[in-house]
Amino acid sequence: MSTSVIITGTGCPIPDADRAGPGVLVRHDDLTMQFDVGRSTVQRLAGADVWIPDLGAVFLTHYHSDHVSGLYDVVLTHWTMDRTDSVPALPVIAPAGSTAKFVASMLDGWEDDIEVRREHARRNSRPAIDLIAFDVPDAPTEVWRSGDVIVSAMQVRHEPVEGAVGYRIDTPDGSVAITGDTRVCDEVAQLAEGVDVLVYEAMRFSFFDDLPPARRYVRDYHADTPLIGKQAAELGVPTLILTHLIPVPKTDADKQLFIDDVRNGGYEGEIIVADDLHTTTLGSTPENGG
Amino acid sequence: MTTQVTITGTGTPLATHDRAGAGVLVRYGDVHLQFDAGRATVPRLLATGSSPAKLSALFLTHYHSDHVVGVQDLVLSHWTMDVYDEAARLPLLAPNGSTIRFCERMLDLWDHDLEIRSLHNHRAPHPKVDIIGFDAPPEPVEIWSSGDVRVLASQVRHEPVEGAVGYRIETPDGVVAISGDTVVCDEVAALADGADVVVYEAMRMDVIAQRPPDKQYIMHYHADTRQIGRQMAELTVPTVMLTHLIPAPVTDADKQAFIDEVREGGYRGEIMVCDDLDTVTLGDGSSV
Repeated sequence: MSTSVIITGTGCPIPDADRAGPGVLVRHDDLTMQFDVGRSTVQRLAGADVWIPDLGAVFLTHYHSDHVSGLYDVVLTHWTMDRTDSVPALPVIAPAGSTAKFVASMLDGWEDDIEVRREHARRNSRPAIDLIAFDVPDAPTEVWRSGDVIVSAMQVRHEPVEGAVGYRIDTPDGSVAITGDTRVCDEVAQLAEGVDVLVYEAMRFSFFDDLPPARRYVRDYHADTPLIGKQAAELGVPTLILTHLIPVPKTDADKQLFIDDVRNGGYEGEIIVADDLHTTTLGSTPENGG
Repeated sequence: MTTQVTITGTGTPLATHDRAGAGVLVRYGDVHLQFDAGRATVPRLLATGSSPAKLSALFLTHYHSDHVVGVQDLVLSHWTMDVYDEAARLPLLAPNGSTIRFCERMLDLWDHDLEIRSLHNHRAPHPKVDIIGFDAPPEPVEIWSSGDVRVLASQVRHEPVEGAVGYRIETPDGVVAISGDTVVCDEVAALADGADVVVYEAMRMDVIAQRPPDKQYIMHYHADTRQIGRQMAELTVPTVMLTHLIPAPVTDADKQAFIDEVREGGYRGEIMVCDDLDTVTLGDGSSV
């Protein structure tokens, strides 16, 4: 058995030809868990060889369009690709408030499409979501589990967006934390305590110094690269994966700037400035033959 | 000037990693026209050098999720990318009925997201999209124009989906027809009459006929490769771009099977079994 962390999308709201919207896939054995579903997530899941109807659960960090705009496609495809007409409702785990509200009504507006497909294909089922909403906790709290895998959530700091969370996934192979969108804050430190892999959103604040004031507001609620380095060093995290990359790196030199910033913060572990479908595998459990 | 026809997505509802959902981009100078917006349309637009912010108009063929599931992203991106609030409003044209009903409701769920972003960045709160419905006409009728470019629509035959249309784009360089989803029918022939390029959805019925009986219903409303060949031969269309490919070809041999069947229908012109971003450029029709 092993656990892998696959970045399905490294992009942000500003579209890019090569970067899907935010998303992280965590696989443990046959269990697949998708965290956030930005644009093109379905394609990336296909690229990671996930058969969409087999998806185990979807977790959302917060209600910002770039993190959830691919949910329609995931939920509809979860149904259209299900040739057996027997796949259970897709669990969607989300913080209560605007995110859960979005999920609860996201299929409104698709009824005509669903009805015409049902009648034509003579199917009894329809796309179904099992919405699991949780109150945003101020300490890491279990929100879902399957077998040996436990998923915990905790609030992060993405104001003015309310109820934004990060996630922590504990498996027999090790632990992964996913920051969601946030400033560097104590909450992330709590969530990421002792993890093997930390998936961090990253923004190079210095890039915005020369832009007009109207462009700088985004620094209010994202994670500055040198501060990420400082925190990851304090936590002693072995592997740091940077995603939601702003500004979008086009060249190796652009990527190196992210690395240099994080090193300036004092971090000496492994840094990955991720491209879509970057995969990190957590050690295999020897007794199960790897 | 030239006119470029680029397939932004050659896929279908069934997800594959390298085929985006349905979409065609037609460009003539600064006029960028997108037809349908399936999954991953926005990244594909960027890959062509266009972008949501550069689109002159968006046209939808019908209300099936694989053709419209990327519309929300496109409309939201048109707004989020326009950081200095300079973009023109985006016209979104679609047949009246279920397609327009979808368009009119599609931003309902995004109110809160837009409001928060607006408060934070001090911008006007709503994406600048104009939703324009038209009754699906029985034969090609002009529904939009800009300078030398005309777009015509006509109903096609995709029952049980109602109000499905195909489009015909006329520029000084030539004529492009886009079938949308349809069986091979006289309505497509009217759209494609005299066209230089026809973008045709294509299904290999022999393959689908081998599936279990309860999975064969899709043969009722898609375009058979051999009949495509017969119709395109009758119309003497120079170039046919096949898209919405079912079954999705993986190998060159898979693609050749599409070509062989269209040839069996009698067609002798150029056949492209398209991958995403495949492009045809129509000659220089004007010295403007």
